[in-house]
Amino acid sequence: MNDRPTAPDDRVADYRSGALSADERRRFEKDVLERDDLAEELYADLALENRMEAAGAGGATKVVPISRMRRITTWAVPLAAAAALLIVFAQRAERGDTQEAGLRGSADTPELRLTEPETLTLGSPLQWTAVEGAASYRVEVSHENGEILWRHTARGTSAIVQGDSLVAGPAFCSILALDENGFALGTSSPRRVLIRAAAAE
Amino acid sequence: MAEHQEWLQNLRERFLAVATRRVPEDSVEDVVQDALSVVIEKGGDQPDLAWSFQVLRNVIGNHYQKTRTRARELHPEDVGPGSAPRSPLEALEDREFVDLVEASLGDLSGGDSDCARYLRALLHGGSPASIAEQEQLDAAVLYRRVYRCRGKLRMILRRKGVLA
Repeated sequence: MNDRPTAPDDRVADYRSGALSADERRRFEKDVLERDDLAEELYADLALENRMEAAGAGGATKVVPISRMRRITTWAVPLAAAAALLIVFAQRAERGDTQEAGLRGSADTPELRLTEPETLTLGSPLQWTAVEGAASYRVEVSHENGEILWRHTARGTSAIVQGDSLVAGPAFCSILALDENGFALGTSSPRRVLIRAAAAE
Repeated sequence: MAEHQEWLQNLRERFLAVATRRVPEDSVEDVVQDALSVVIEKGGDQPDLAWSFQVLRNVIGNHYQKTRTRARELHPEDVGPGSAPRSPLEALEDREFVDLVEASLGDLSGGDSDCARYLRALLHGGSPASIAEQEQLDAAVLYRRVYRCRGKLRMILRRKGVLA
């Protein structure tokens, strides 16, 4: 594996701006797939640009919806992208969302509905509130040290808590709402829970 | 078909290398698998490579978004050992990120005031099209310049120890 930093390669800029010819583009993509240093350069530039755009926009676009991805790989339609962002921000402002929109206390955030306070009972359903636009939800139960004990993807707003790796004891539970492309719409606050064995056991 | 499989295998290797530098070891496989799933499901037979890397970037962004949420909710002592981010820059809140980049642009402006000006404008929400117009530059020319400027900024951020 090559290590960074890599030398600037203007082909990265030309590739991302759409300035390469079809042949040049194919050759560049082949090079990227064969060279760690070039793949690293492409990713690092893209990631920093994304992070700067998101921060500059007030943090409202932490995750770029996949439907817009193809457009932002090129600057061919920068005005359209800027207009789309403005609409998003205006909508968020109208809703009174804060900078942390989508993370806490907004309609974009799923909320756990525990039948018993702070308790997950194995074999019992876990429920949460729906998020508009969510196609699925990823439930994660993790140990206090962050180790994922159970991960489950559900189409609806409930799931049966069960798994060999789940044992009675303290844990954290969180719900991630995902859109149809598998990208995050909002994450619930991690809740401290106590995993409890099924009543019949 | 075999060509597509080879393409996916190569992409997986590149994704693994990129993700290994940026997320904790025990999350690398999950992140790469999540990204490849989207590429396979949504990318068609010949996905655009830049788009595929954007997918990986989004998945890694999701990972750090979750980490930041968790860090805000938990006391420091609740966060286990080994949870230190491999890419501290990704773990920063937006305000911290802006402050850090501003400071780095200060370092940059002594040697390259054009770069500092372009990047500061972008950092504060300026669009590439408006900057190109202000600078009276062709968009493609500006893009190359900005790309090289981001490269310089990355070097500064690496020296500060916040960039993978």
